[in-house]
Amino acid sequence: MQRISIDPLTRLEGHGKIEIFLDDAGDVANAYLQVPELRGFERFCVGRPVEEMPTLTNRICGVCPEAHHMAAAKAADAVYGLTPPPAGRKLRELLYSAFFVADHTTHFFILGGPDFIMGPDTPVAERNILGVIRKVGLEIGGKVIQARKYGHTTVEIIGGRKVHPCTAVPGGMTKVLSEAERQEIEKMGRWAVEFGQFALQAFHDLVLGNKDYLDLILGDAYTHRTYYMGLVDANNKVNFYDGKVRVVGPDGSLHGMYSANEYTDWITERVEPWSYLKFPYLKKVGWKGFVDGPDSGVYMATPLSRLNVSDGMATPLAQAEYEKFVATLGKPAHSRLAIHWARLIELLYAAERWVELATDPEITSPEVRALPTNPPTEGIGIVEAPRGTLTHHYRTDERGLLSMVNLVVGTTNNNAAMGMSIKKAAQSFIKAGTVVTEGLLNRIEMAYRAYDPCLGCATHALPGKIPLQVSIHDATGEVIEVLRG
Amino acid sequence: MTATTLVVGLGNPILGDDGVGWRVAERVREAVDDPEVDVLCLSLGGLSLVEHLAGYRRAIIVDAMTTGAAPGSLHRFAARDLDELGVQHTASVHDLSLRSALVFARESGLDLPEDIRVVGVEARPEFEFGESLGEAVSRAVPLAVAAVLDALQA
Repeated sequence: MQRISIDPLTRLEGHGKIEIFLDDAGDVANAYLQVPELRGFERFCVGRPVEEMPTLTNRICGVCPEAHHMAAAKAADAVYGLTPPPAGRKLRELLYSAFFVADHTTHFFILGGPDFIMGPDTPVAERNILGVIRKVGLEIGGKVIQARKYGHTTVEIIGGRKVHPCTAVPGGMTKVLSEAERQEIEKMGRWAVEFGQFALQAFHDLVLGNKDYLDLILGDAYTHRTYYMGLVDANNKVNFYDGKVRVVGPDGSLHGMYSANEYTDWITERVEPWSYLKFPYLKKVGWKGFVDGPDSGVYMATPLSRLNVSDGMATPLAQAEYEKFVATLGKPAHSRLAIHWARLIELLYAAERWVELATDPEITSPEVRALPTNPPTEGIGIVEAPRGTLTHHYRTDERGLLSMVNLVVGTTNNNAAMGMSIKKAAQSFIKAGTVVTEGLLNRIEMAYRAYDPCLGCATHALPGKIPLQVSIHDATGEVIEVLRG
Repeated sequence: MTATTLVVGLGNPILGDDGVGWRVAERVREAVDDPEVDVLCLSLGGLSLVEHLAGYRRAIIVDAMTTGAAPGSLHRFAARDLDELGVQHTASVHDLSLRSALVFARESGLDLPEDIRVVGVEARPEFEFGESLGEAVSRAVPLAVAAVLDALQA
């Protein structure tokens, strides 16, 4: 049996490795995504005070500290049975909306977009943001930097410090927003709305306007029919910060809706001997292996999932884009490459929500925190991280010291779905006798890059170099060829 | 901003040896009383790191590295000598390599320091959650602090 490995993945957040096994005929027998898990975080937390968790968990990984900060604060609210006052809740969501704008911008323009803007077969040295600014113009680079800067500045103002926010605590926030700060945040939010429109226009012009790319998006190689998951508000609109988790089947019918404290009734995890990372699946459907369809409990939690489970977007410009999206792709949309489009619609929604919250009359209220009166017990907090539903579950003793910590992180939700996407792309592009080229391997990488996987929560041990390295092994495991991107 | 030099400790402070950049930066902060020098502790490399360098004339980055050398070994080099992907977190695939990020950010109009140096401390290849450094890396902290202070004098 031949073995091809893509190691480590380029432009993936954190490190992983794709292994492709060929059969004797040279067709793809199987493909795996492997993640070297970083162990011990949950053990590290046990015995610590629960109120440390919002600042501790956001150090799991530098990529989405805001998501862990929010999920931890919500879980800690629940541990003390607290409901933050309206301004506390809105400040959290405002911070979170600005974070989403920065994070989605980074993914599309730096991680995922270059495949489309430069073309999937462009050599890796040009298939990046440098190639993009050379092709599309310097203006786009300045806008990307600005969008990130405004997002980070807003997080800093509300979150209290530059990188890892520290103001969300059990019961609300520790910092009141001043009128001068509010005005600055509003101004940045208005710029972000224009940027969100610009990003979608770029997507329409550069990606949807190109028939080859549209065919790639609509083609079978990147399509799976699975369950979808995401948070929705009381009107079934997409929400990143709060609401109920809604799950729909491959035909779009409702599988169920659950609150944070019910998650163990709906989600369970499977362990595979070849992977450190677990495979969550829908408990009520059951595990049938790495397969599509209504009988398989495999689900996806991504921007596309959130659009699929919802009745649309709660803001007008994003809703108009959502309608174009549904008119083009139908609903639910199954193409994994459509995650990129969904991500940009979410970017616009996040920017609009940023302005809505920054102009909310309650946002500068000094009532930002409810103080604990009940003894701490157990609590679960759920938010949507940019890359999927994020669940934090804590149990404490009567002093508030943690006795149990369980995290289901965004990327882990998609572990099974990503593996299936990699295998399907590999089978579609590598046939007996195929000469394996860099462009071809990139098309396989695109299958998981769409998910915006962040393995940072699971791993941090980075090797010194990150080329695209492909080792082809013969049946005995001997390396017969090494390709470097 | 009045400071012209930025010292960045890079890494994850709760991930064993990976926290060495922060430890070194914290000691540098205590040792240096100079309004020209800012000290920051950060966790991400690539574009995120580069954005923090904007506006400074020079920068010194302290980070854990895994090159295969003996744990605790010190590495010193200039960012311009980096190959495409060189350093632990500065090479984070979260966004871009440090070198690509520098080129991209400069072309996009960020005012970045010409003089960027890296002080790397060789870490053990496995990282596990914990707030303390391994023995070899711990012993290297004063040496790395001295290397940063040397670079500040240069």
